[in-house]
Amino acid sequence: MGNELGDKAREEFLSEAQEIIDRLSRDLLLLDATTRVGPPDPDLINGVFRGVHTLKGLCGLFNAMRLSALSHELENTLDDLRLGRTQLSPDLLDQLFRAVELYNRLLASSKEGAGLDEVDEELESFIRELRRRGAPASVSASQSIAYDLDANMLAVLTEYEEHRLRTSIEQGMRLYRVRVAFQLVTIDDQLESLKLQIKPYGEILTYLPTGSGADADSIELEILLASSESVEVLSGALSKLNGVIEEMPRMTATTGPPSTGAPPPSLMSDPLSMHASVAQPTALPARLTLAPHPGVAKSTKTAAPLASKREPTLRSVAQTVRVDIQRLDHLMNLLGELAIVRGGLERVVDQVRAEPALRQLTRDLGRLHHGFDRHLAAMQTAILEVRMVPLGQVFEKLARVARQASREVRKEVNLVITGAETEVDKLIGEELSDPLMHMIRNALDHGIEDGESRERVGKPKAGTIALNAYQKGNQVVVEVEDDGAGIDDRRLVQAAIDNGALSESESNELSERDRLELIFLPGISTRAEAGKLSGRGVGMDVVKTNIGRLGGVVDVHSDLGIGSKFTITLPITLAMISALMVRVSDQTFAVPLASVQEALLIDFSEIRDVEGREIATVRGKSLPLCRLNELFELQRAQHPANGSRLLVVVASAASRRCGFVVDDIEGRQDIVIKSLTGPLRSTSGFAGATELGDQRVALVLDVPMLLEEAMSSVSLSKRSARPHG
Amino acid sequence: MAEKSRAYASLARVTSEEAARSEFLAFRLDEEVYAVEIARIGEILRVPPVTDVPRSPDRIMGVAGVRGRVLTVLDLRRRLGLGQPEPTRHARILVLPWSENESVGLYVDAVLQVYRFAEADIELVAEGLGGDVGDHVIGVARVEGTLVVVIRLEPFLEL
Repeated sequence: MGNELGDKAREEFLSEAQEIIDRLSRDLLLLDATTRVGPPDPDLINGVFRGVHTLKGLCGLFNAMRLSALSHELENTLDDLRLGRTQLSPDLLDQLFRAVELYNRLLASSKEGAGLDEVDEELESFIRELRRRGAPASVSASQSIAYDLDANMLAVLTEYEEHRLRTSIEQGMRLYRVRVAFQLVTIDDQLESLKLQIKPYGEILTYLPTGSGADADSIELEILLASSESVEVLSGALSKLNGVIEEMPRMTATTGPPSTGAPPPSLMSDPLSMHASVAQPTALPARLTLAPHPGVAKSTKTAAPLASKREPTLRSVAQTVRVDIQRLDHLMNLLGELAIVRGGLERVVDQVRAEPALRQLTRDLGRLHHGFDRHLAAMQTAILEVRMVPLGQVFEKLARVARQASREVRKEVNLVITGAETEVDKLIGEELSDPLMHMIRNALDHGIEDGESRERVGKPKAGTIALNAYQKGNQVVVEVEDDGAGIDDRRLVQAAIDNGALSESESNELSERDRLELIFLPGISTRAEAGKLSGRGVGMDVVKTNIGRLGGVVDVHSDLGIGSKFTITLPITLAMISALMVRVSDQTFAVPLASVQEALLIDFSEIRDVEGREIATVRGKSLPLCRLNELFELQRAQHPANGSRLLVVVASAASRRCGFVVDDIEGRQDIVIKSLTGPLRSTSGFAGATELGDQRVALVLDVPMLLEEAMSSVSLSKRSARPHG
Repeated sequence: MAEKSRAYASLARVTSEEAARSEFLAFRLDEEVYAVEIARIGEILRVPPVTDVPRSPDRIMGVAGVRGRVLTVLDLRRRLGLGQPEPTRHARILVLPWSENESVGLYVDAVLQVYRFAEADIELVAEGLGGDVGDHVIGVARVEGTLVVVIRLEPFLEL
């Protein structure tokens, strides 16, 4: 599609479309949340409509027919919705959410460029359903109370504004007219602040220039305001404005037109009426009678948020540039090169320093080197920052999943998100969404009880799943907490025994924490049958492994009857991790610190041989040992430095724990991991390599993989057939 | 007009001859002379410290850090049944880009010289060496009594 526009333009289109769809999803979620407590926010509905409208234009431009067709139908439906021709039902919301899923799928296939000409069954049936919905509900009107509105004003109302006007009156709001003079230079800012001031009290329906009483530099606007507050309250709220507020006369109370008849405003001369959507003056009778429906005449307590009217359409608001993540990787690599140059420079500085005759030069060079150092560090920070995205991006997707899942299992659940602004590396964010999705599904399926059971034990009927994120030092913590039934650790233990993962006697030695940790074992479920959502073969073990791959760890806490909490701790950035540098034989290896529990010296007397495997006893617990030099088939170190003791680095991942025997620990270091390429891609046991300052390269251990290998009876190196050669 | 088109014709002939003759870089592995097409070579490096990768196939010497990237270095000597003398000061790494983002290094004991071979100069393997050679050998060329084995690296890059 759009080949003549080039790949770059197409990419831009795809990412822009994705952004719009994401925003759409966000708005829908908000809409879903707000409609539960009050009338739908017209602002949001309008936002959704505009999003789809923009998308339609975009898709048309890029000849994305299926996306375009979907947008077109949706636009019609949403237009009916925002003009009050249809009501927002849970059913319709469901359909809108389905549209988002559909958008995402279509967009994904557009990305691959696959099946563009085929008829998409799902799309076709979805569009048919949307059309079937069609028939708008008529707006009821009775004659009890009426407002006498200036025909000139009514004449310029857009259909949307007219709808808002009707709705406001139906909700029993009072109408006010506010006249305010604005300075032309600052009118945009002033209007914005006015909107903010009014927002808590009511909704601005429309505004028009009066054309009177203004000098050359200012303009007087007449603002039509709907509010349930009294004129005194509004005057107080808007005291700073120097405006005149008056309540619109009601027909039943007074007769005759309002005394301050505004002169006919001309659409063309009004810069503010240049609305993005076509503002067609509707032919209306000179006096329109608008009245609330008797049934809904009670005033709404929550003030309706105002409908934002003017959007800057030509100037893009966001000062952002989209960048391919690979380019950032490239920058990171360049930075790595600079770091190596710095290392070389340092050695030269040291050499020069040794020359007494060059003292002055040494000082200068030292200063330059120091400056270089500082700027390099600043640059590294800056590049890492560029890669950061707020976790909110991930959480939004999850909110959608949670909503859908809660409907599937018919459990009422509130997803409470905090810390959405917490930032992580883009790649971590992407990789995190699947594990989090599993955890939320688990919480819904296994954690949260059904409404009746909850009420029996005195919990609120709707369950709560909290998704909290916050930064903690150099790490980011993400918590998934539910107020469900908690995890029954006895059933976990039983399941583990049934599964053969644990013997009866072993099970008696487990601490409470250990018992809960069993949830991370593969194939463990406390359910006899798989749930509707989870229990589809992907368990917590996969979650733990995936998070481990990101250098993170998962912990679980649970109180029976009260709820469970999973805590994920992640490094903020993938690009740079902390590692423990260890030596085995003559080689240096990096062990990601995230998977290191501790380093120990273990006396030979503490080690026994069990079926050909060395097991140490540490603080009363068994720790299987693994000699890295044997695993890697390296020469044994010439002079074991530690005498009668072994130096052991205890590593853990996904509930596996093992002590790796090393010859020496060289220290801690922040490293940049580079992946192994070419024929080395298939070499197991290494997550990549990293450059040390002195031009040497150290391999980074893939701890989860090595643990698996060390713990399984047959070593992987023997199992995997070596490539010839 | 006629003159001009004749000129173009002769130009075309030269270009096609150019194309038929390719440049090859000859290098030494142990005592044998091999060559790869120069167009394939990105750069030639002095041998940096190479880190051994445990459990890697034996055609792999290890990994080396080259300007911010980790380069996989091949050492084909064992695979080709050759001796493996210690690197001297002549030893080099040929860097051969093989995809957009990846390169592979080839260890050689010494870089010798550049040859220009026409296609006809390279005897196809089947005639020159008999059938029993790997698919890495494109052919052999005889230059001043020396046998130069022209190879390609793809077979060694497979996993």
